[in-house]
Amino acid sequence: MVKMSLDPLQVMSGQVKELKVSPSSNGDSRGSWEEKEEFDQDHLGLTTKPKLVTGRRARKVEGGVFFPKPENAVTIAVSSRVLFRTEREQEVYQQKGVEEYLRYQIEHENEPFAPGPAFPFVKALEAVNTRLRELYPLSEELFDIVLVTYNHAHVGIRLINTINHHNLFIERFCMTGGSSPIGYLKAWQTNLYLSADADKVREALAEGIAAATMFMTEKLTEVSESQLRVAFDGDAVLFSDESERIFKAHGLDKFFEHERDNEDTLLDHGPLKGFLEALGKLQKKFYAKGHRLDCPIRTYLVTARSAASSGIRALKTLRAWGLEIDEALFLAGAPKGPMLEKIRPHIYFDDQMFHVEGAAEMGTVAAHVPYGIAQKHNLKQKSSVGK
Amino acid sequence: MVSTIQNTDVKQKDADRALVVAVTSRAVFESGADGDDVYGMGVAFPLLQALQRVNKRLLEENPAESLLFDVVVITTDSQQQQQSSRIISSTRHYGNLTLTSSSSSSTRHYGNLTLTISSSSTRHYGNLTLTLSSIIHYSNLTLTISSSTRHYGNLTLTLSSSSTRHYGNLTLTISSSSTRHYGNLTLTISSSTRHYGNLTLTISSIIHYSNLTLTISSSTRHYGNLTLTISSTRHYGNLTLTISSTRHYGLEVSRFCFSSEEDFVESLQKNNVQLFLSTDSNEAPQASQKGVLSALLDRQEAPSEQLRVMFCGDDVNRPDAGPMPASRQAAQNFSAQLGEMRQRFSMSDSPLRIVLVTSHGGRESCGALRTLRSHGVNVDEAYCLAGAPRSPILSVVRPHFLLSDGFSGLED
Repeated sequence: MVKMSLDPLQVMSGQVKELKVSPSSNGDSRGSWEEKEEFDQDHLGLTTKPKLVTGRRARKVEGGVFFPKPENAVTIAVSSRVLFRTEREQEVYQQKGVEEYLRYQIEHENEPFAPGPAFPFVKALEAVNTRLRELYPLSEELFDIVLVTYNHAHVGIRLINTINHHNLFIERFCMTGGSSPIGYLKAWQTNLYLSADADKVREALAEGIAAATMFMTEKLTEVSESQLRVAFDGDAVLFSDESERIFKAHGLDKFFEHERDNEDTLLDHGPLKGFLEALGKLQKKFYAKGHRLDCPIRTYLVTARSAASSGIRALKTLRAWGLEIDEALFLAGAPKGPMLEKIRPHIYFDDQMFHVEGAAEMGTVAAHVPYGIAQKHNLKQKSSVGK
Repeated sequence: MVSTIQNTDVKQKDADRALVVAVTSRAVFESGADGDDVYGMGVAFPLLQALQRVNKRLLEENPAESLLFDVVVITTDSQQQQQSSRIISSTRHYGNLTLTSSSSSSTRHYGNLTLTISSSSTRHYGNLTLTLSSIIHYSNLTLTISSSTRHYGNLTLTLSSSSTRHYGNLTLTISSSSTRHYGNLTLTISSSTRHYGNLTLTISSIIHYSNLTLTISSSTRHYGNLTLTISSTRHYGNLTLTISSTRHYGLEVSRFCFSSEEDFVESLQKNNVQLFLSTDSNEAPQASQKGVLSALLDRQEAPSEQLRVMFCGDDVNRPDAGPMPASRQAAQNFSAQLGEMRQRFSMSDSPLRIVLVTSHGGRESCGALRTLRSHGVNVDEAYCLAGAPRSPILSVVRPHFLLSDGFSGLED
C-alpha cells in the first residue's frame, strides 16, 4: 500500500477532465490540450541494437545515492524478460536446458541485452522521478523500479551490466534462482508487476498485486521521453468484470439495460485501480507546485463503453473513488488500435488479448491483465514461455 | 580443562577435507526438567537436520565423497560442561524410526495384522514414519502406537492398498502419555475401490504409562533409524512383529567438546572449526575476534528442509586495506568450500542453497557477485536492497544463518 502525505492544495475531487466522445476514430481527439514537448519524437532509447554508450549520465542526486523506502514509493517490479529482449537466451534454455543456458549467459556477460517492451515505460518513470526530485528533493514519494527475475544470480552480472549500459537507474534486484517471486513482490510492497509469464502474473493478481503480462512486438511507435502516459481499459482492469459478465452472458442489450438501471451504483474495483490511484497521487504533487498543465504523468481511459449511456456509470465510479483520469475515450465498440496510436501511451492495460493484439499491431505496447470473465474467452492466448 | 570425545556411532570425517561446523549445546538442545536423561530439541535442530540431509545427498552422488559437513557439539560454559553424559545420550537418542511392512507378492489376505510399537523412551522420536501397503485387503488391521512422555516430532502414518476389497475392521489407536502435543500428525488412508468395514480411529493423550517397552534385538541401548521390512508370499494368519535393528544413527555429530567459557574459543581453534554457531550474542563475537567465522542462530518460524546459507555482501568487495583480518580469511575459506559443495548438485533440486543479500544497489553488488564467483561460489539467489529494510526479504528466504565478513547475525 502506498501511503502518501500531500499538501492538500488543489485536490480536485474526482472530476473527470477532458471527456471525449469518439464514435469513430479520427485523430482529432487532442482537443484543447496543448501539444508541445509531449510529442518530442527524437531519440527515445528504442533501439533494437545496443548503443555504444561512452559516458554515463550524471546522477541528479547530490550527496550520494538516495533510495526510497518501499512503503513510501510507488514500486514497480519488472521482469528481466520484459525490460530487455531475451529471446535468444530463452531459446537456449528451452532447447539445451538450464546448465547450458547459464553457461551461455556467463559467456555473453559483457554483451548488454537490447531493450524490451517495458523499456520505454521504465525510462519514462525515471523522467518523472527526475522532475519529482527537482520539486521535492527530500521526498521518498517516487517511482521505485525493482528488477525481479527468476534467473539465478549468475545471470545477475549480465543484467547489471545491461542496466549500466542503458543508463537505467535501477538499483534494487531480486534474483530468485527459480523460487516464486510472489513473496518478494509482497515484501517490496509492489504496486505493479510486469512479467512475460502469464502464470506468474495470475499468481500475483490472486495475491492482490496489480500485474500484467507484456509481449514483445516488432512494430513500436515512438513515445514521449518526458511525459509518462498510461492508458487503461475500464472493465476488468480499473473496474470489476461485473458488466462484462452480463454482456457475455446476455448480450449487448441486456448490458445496456443493466448499466442504465445501475447507473448510480458504483462499479466494484478492478486489479489496476490501485495503480491508477498511485499515479494520481504523484500527479497531485505536480499540481501542488503549479505544474498541472505540463504534468509529466498523463492517464487515459480507453473503453468500449459509450459516453452517453454505459460510460456514465464508469465516470461516476471514478469520481466517487476520488480518482482523476486525464482523458477518457469512449469508443462505443470501435477498435482501440487507432485511438491508442494517436495517444501513444507507454503502456496500455487491457483484459482481453484481442485488444492487446490489436494495439500491438498498431505499435502500442499493450499489457494483458488476465482477470475476469474474459479469460475464458481468450482464444488467442499466447502460451507462456518457460522461465 | 577441555575434554573432547568422539561419537563412535558416527563415521568420522576426513579431517583435511570436511567442513567443520561447531554448534553450542545450548543451541542444539533445550533443557527440560532436570530429572530427564535426555534434552529436548533446540533452536539449531532444524539446521542440524538440514546439514545431515546435505551430507546424505552428497554421499548419494558420490559414496566416496570427503567434502562433508563435520558437526561438533561444543559446550561454552561450565554448567553445560558438567552435563556431558546427558548431552551424549541426547545426541544418540534422536533419529528417525521407520517401519515398513509390504506384501506386494501376497495373493491372499491377511488374517489379523497386529502391529505394536512401544517405546522405553521417555522422550520423543525425531520422525516416526509408518507405511503399510498391500495389494490385498486386511481383514482386521489393528495398529497401536503408544509411547513417549513428550511429543513426536513428526508422526506420519500411511496406509495404502491397491486392494479391490475392503478392509474388515481397521482400528487405529495412537495413544500417548504425552502431556504435550504431537508435532505433525499426518494420517493417510487411501486405496481400495470399496469401502472400509469399520474404521475406528482413536487418538488420545491423557493417560500416563509407566512402562513402555521396545525390544530391539541387536541393540539394547540407543536406536536411531530403524528399518523393518516384512514381505510375504502367503497369507498371514496372525502376524507377530519382530523388529531387528540393522543400523542406527542418532544425530550425526562426530565429536563433543566439553569446554567452559574460558577455553571454548581455544577449543574451536584446536578442532579446526570453520564455522561456529551459537544462540548467545556474546559468544559469537568472542570467537570471531580470534579469527573463527561465527554466526548467530535464531529461532525460526518455518525452517526449510533445504539448507539455506545467506551471505551478506556488504563487505565482500571491500578493497584490501592491509593484511586480511583472520576472520575475513576464515569467511573466504568457508565460502569457497561451501561453493564447492554446492557444485556437486544441479541448479534445481539441491539440498543446499546459497543466497546473497546486499544493502547496496545493483552496481556495487556486481562486485560482490564477481568476487564470490572467483572464490568458486555460485550464488543461487541475490537480493540487492539499495537501502530497503532487510527483514521482509529474510522472512521470505528464511536462511538458517547469515554470514558476513567476520561476524554477523540475523538481526537487522
